[in-house]
Amino acid sequence: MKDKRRERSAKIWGWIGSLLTVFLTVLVLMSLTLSGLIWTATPPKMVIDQPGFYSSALNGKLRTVHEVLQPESLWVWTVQNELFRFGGNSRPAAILMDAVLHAQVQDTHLGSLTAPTGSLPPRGPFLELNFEGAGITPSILNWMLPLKRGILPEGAHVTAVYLSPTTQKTVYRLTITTGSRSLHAILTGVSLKVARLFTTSDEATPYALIPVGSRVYNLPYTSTVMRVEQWTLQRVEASHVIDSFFADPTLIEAIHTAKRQVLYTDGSRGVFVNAGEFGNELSYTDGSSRLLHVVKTAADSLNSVMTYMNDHGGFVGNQFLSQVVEGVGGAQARFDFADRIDGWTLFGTLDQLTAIVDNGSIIRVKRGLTYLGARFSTHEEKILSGVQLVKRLGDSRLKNVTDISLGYDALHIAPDFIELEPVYRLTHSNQSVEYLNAMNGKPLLKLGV
Amino acid sequence: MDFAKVKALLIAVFLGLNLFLGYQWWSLQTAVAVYNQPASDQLANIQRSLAQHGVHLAAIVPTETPTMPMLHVTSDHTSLTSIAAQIWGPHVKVHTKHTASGDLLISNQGHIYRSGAGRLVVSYMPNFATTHATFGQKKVLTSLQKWLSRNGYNFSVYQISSWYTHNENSVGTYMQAYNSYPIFSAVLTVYVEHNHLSGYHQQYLGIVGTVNPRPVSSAVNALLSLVQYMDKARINADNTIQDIRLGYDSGITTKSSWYLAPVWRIGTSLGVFYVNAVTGEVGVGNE
Repeated sequence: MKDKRRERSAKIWGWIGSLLTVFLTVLVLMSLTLSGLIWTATPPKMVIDQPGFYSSALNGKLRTVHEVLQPESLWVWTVQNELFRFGGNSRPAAILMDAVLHAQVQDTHLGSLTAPTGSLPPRGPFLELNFEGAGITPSILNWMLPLKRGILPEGAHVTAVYLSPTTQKTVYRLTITTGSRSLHAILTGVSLKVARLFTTSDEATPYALIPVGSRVYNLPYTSTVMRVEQWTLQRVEASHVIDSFFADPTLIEAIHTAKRQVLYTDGSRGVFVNAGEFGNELSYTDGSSRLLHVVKTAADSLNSVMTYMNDHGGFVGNQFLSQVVEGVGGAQARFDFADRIDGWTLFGTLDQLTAIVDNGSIIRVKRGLTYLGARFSTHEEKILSGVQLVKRLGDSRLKNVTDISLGYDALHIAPDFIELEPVYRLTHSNQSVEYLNAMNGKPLLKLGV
Repeated sequence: MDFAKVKALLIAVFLGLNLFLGYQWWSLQTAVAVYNQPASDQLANIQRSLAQHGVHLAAIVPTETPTMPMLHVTSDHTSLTSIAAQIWGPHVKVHTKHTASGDLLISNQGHIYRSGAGRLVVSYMPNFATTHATFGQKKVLTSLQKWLSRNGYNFSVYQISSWYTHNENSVGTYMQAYNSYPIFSAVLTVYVEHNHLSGYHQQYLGIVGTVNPRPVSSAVNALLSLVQYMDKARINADNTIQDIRLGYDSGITTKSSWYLAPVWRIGTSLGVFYVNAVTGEVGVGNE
């Protein structure tokens, strides 16, 4: 009897075991089927809008608007009526920019439409943030100075910001000049560090206002010492950055459009890579037109440029915003960036960057694929003082020269090596430029921009 | 280890796995269902989104999603003398002039001018037009097309886009086509005055080859891209979509050759939008 029961129970357990085996097999098959379904039934990606650009390898540094927004120079007019120049990226310039940003603006009022000659720059000691020729609009200035929005028309271009001391150490008279009018205010809560900027340091270059005929040139007072530097050049392969300009890199096709020029395009956008003075240059064009009524301020456009450039390799060197050129109606704006060497502008095409924004969209970018690598040699040279330069040039050559600036220019000394030399840049009334070796005043044969 | 215990463990594991996979599949189906709406629902949703931007959809929305390549094209370098021979026959006397803005060919039948961008302007002398290119008042279009097939320049690759008549003057617009899809930048505009052909403007592109064939996104997706573009650009002006067509266009041209991408051309009462039919990027036309 017990045997029969055991036999029956063994049979039942056997059936249960078989059932479980079948159940397990079903479960295994089901898991395979479900995996297969998930694998194959995933819907294809539906493109409904440009998903953003592919990111590019970072060749330079990520920079903020505040970092590129520097004056060309900081001028200090001391109590002793001496004039000194600091580079726009120098420590004193940074101290002043920071102090201005954190100060309070009071008693703002507009000056007359055409400021009387002699009232600007202000009499007595002053500090000047020089933006001459940079095309800085009031909306961009708002990043540096807490001004009331709309007090200056957006079409105005700020040429200089002056700070004159008062009897109180933290209060300064503020004067902002544009091409046509000035704005006056009181700046309170200014850092005490600013007062110390009126005492000169070794960093500063003494300058003098030298009158020639009806013009006055702002030039070095003495035969200053500047460095002649040798640098290596670094090159980026075009193929490493091309993808980042397109929504779908698999659509990119290359065409040789001219001698030493290749066009990479997907039919909507194009990147031209052509041989430039120091190596390959890249020029990106978005072929779509934009709607004309979506107007942004120059500050909004600059913000778009910064985001775009940081996403496309970053900034190489110490680039600063050297010029803003706005189109009619403010919808389109061009932003030029240039590099600085020891506080002096690097003229020419090396490390230059240009971006054009149309209604908030980047439609053109031009940049070199070769940039300054490492400095491997340097020596000091005496440059011509302003008086020496003016004497060498003579009145007849200076007749049509509207501006003389000191800076650096790059000259090839070997395929991957360049020398940075101090140069005087002469701007003529027809906007053409001429470069003179700052050590001997001889013209440089190369053409610059 | 007892096999029954192993089996029980495996059952528990696979049960858990199947529950997880089942949930994944169900959530995927729920997500897909949004995209798998019937065309009528998709259209209704798009109409609603467009209406939020003040845009009325008055065009038939195509449902085709063919596979289209990018076209490698070049501007036409055929000599004006050869073109004149095709238009007026090989025995017509011609002389050519090269100017800063383009080339000009003059004959006793008419003029052909080609700009630096490769655009041809063919104009007929009035006596030639009255003698050789006059069409009856009825069926002007049919007669004109027959005439152009015989005497036009590469007319066979063009397809009609629009025909407009006012005060006995008609203007016909044709577009060069590839695989029956129009090239929006290669336009032939014909001018008929009092039943005489006065001339035409023609942009002809040489097709060098094709690359990257891809299935294009649907017209509904193109409209969705347009809605997103309008959101970003804050466009809310009253507008009507009058026409949606699939074809080719390019934002980048050079003097030698360039590529045309498949695009959806969305014609509205305020302007033309081009939506790249592969990447979904939206551009605005200059028309």
